[in-house]
Amino acid sequence: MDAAMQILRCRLYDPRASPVFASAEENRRKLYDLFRHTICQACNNSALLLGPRGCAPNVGARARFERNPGDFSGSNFDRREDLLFVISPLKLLFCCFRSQVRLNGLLHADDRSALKEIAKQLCVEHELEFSKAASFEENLRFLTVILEQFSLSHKALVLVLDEFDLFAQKPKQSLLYNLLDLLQSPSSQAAVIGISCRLDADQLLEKRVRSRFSQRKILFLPPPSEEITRFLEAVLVIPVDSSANLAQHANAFNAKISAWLQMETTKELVNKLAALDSSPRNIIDSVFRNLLDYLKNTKSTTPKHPPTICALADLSVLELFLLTSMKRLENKERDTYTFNSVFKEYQDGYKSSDSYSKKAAYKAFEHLLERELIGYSDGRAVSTLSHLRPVKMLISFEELEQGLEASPICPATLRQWYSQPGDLSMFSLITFSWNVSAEA
Amino acid sequence: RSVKRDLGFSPVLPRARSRRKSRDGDRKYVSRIEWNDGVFEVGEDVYVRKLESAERDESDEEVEDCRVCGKVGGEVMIECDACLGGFHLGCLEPPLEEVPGGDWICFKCEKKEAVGEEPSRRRHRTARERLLAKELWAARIERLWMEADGSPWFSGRWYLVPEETASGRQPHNGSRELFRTKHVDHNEVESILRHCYVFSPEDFSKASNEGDDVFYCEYDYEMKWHTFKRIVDLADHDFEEHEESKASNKKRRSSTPNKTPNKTPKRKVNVGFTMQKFFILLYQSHTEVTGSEVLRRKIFPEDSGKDLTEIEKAKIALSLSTTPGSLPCREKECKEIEAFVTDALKEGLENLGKCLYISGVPGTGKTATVLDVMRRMEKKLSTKEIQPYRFVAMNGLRLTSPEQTYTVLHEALTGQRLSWKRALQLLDERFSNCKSLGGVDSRPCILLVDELDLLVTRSQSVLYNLFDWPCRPNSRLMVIGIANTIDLPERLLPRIASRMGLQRVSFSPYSYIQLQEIISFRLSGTEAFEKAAVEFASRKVAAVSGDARRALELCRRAAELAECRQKSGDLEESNTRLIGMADVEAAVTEMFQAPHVQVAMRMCSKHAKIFLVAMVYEYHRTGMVETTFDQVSRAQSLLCSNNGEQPPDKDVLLSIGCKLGECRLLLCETGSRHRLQKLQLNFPSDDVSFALRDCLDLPWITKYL
Repeated sequence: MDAAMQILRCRLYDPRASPVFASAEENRRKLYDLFRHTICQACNNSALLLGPRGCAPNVGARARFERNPGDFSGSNFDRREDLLFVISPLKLLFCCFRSQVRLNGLLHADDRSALKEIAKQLCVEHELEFSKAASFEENLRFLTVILEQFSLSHKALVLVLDEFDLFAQKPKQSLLYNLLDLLQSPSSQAAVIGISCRLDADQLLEKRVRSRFSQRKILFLPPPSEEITRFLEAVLVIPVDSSANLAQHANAFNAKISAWLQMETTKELVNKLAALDSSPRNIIDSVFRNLLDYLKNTKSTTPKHPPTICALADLSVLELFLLTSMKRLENKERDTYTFNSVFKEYQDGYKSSDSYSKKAAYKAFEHLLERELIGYSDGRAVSTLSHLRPVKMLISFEELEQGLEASPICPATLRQWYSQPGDLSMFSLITFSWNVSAEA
Repeated sequence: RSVKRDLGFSPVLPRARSRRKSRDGDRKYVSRIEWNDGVFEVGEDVYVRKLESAERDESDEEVEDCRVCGKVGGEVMIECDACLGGFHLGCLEPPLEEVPGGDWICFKCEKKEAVGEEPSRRRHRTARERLLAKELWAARIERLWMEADGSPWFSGRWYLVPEETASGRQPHNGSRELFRTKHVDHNEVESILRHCYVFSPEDFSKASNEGDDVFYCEYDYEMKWHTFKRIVDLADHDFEEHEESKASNKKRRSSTPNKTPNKTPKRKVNVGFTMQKFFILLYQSHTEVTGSEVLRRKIFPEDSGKDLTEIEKAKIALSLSTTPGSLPCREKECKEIEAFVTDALKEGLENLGKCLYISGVPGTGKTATVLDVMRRMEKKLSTKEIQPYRFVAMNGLRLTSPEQTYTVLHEALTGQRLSWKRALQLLDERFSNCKSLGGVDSRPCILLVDELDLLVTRSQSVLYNLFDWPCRPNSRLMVIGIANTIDLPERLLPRIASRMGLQRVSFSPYSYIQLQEIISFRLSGTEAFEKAAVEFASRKVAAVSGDARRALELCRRAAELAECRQKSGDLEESNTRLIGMADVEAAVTEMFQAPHVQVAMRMCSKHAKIFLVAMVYEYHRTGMVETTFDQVSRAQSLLCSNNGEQPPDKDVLLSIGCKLGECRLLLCETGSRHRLQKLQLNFPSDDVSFALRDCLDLPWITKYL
């Protein structure tokens, strides 16, 4: 049981272990060739892996490395024993001739710290002492020296730059220039792999950097919708073991899974997913809940409304009134409005003595701002008077209408007011004030 | 090898030279060797005998005798910081009780007596003294191996004493300072005298009691150019301690606790190069694999083995890291630069043309040409056609800041690392009156600055100084600047432009004929490529950029594709052996075109496609490039409801839009702007129509395009 859980957990949460789509397999082979050339033939390579988030390069790059698990410095595996088990000599080769450095564009503020990080990772891997105070120049020289040593011992260095576009957006691009320039020297053996979700990432490079980059781009894309079911099956079905006791459980589980996959609701869900976003990460995230409900025989707890409508349904009456006033103002073709004009509209529409005070309305207005249902449209700092700053509604009319429908406390008069162009009639005012007082 | 002869390195035994050629495969690499009662490990420092005969008659003393009584050992000794002579504490006048802190100068040096004259009796000389007197060498063992006949060998990287460098001993050199060279020689272990210990300056200052054979080394010395380079930090302290404990087992000689070299600049950075462990790590892996099938497959650019296929050979020849023997198609520029350098080197020529500005787009061989010229000059230098000179190269993008130029230049010239302000001051003095300097310092110096445009600061003072120095009388400095833009001098202040813009060489992009020549030159010796394929590739690149790197990469990619094709094995075609037009074509499409956008659009989810179409629809309706999310969502629901699709929620739609924006299919503001978010297609709307024209899951979409 534990083993099965372990397998599933791995597949679901560890991108390295998750199965790969057929379309990604092609990319995988390309990457494999690229590394093979770097490692066995001492060809320095650079490549960009592009593709939308979630489906993607990241998984690809890691899946690549997963094939060559033991790291040279970390593992003390016995080579002879390995030889018996490892069929492909390449696999063996990858194990011991590779060293890897990973960087992420989001983590390193500038080229200096990024280069420092490279030096640090290399130092940690090879148990060298890392000096924090080393400058950009010194770190660069260190990298050159260590690459020289690497190539003397036929060891390749793989540099993976995650969020490549962010590195390319740094001024001067000195890190990229230097890394790619190192690839040109005969005394180094390395590959630089950039990962980015921007399809135009290579256009960001400066001319001299682009000239050094090898222009290899590998595109990772979400799988076509037909493959999703197959993918789910690959993720969820447990391999059946030989021992009888476990096999029984596994078979039972697998049967359940295949029954679930055949269900209409599941198919519907998969189709919906394919229509919206079919990246593996998204699929796993959204299918998992449904599967759990099925396995535990519980009712699904998915919310009835989309999040914005839920947010609207939770609002107080006064807040709904303010939103409706805004909508009415927009209908009157007033492009911008301030809190004051919104409050005036509210007062005009609701001419009664027990209307809310301006202070209360302002509180409600602030609350709406906090929930990002409305927003200041001038986008400047807080310095000006907030009562007079232009605001805009951030939700559409349809959403507001649905929200009014969904709200349990929305008075009928408000709905009426929403749909009517003019002021509220005397009659509806009375009923409305009655409603409000009843709620209070 | 010629350099080696100049410096007088010669292997100890006559057998050495013949042995050089023995193949790697016959050797058995080991990490330690026991020989003549000594254990030598990779990464250790040793004394190496210069001549076999010279060594015998002097006893191998590890301990120095007292300069006063002449006896060895016994009491605690103290070392003079000036002459390095040893004294018993008791033999001094007045006798010292304990070793004093700080520098201690012996009475002889205080009286400024000449040290060497006095002893009539023959003194024992320690290995340290003999090394400093250039009678021994020091080297670091980089590899150890047993030859096929069982004799142990090592390859050692030489150290130099300051006197052996071109600039001689300088005032800031410490008395125990050594310089590491790049020069590695193979010798028999027989020639090793015994261990010595070379530390980084910091460890050296910490270590006070390791005996007489301690040295420190802070710089690499480039023998070709007589320049110094700081050694980068690869220190490993665990190993160090191990070594220290070993050293302490030996006979101790108590000397002054303060051996800190007098002028080592204080730096926080831990510089050093004790790479022992590192080397061991690497070479173990190396030796383990020797002989296995894996390593044999490994290809080195310099030796093209016989078992390589034609395509593999071609790939190696085409890779950017291979340095070709010469550069075709740049003969004219080469001549110009060579003429400039030769002119500038002529002594007594007080012209102002000592700056050269080289411009050209990337990948046109600017740096390669200059380096090639320098190689030729080096050859001329060895035949004494021109006077000796120094060469310093730097790259603007490798510097921490533009001001760092001064530090690097000063360090390269003198081997002293200073802050840039101080370095600027000293350089300024140096170039104002170069005549006053003697020896190697008076040689002309050629400075190559790559990526010159990176040195532009707000006040442009770095560039001004760089180009002002050569114009001063007697500065003997010439500057070659390389940058991409042709009009860099014009963009700078007039006072810089007038100095640097006098002589220029501009590298134009390669034409297709030149590219073809370059590729064929690299490929000479292999028949992997069809002629037409090479021409096609070079025409293609020349039409776009004329970038040689691009052309080489393109051909390499084509070779890879051909290799792939051959492996997958449609061997029935007669022509598959060669890399043909089809492969180049495939490589071109892969590299030059950006099919990504269309492929990515085709692979989008259904609603993302509708989103894109809605954008196009809005664009056609309003004629405005920029629209808001509000409008697009309205168009989207219109499209959906007209064609029987369930329109997605606004929230989902917003996230779809943001995802498209993330891939840069759209340009958009942040998603928190919701309805007000501004959107714009990142490419012509025709691309959308083209990509989605015959889309299977949305047949109705065509009518909106």
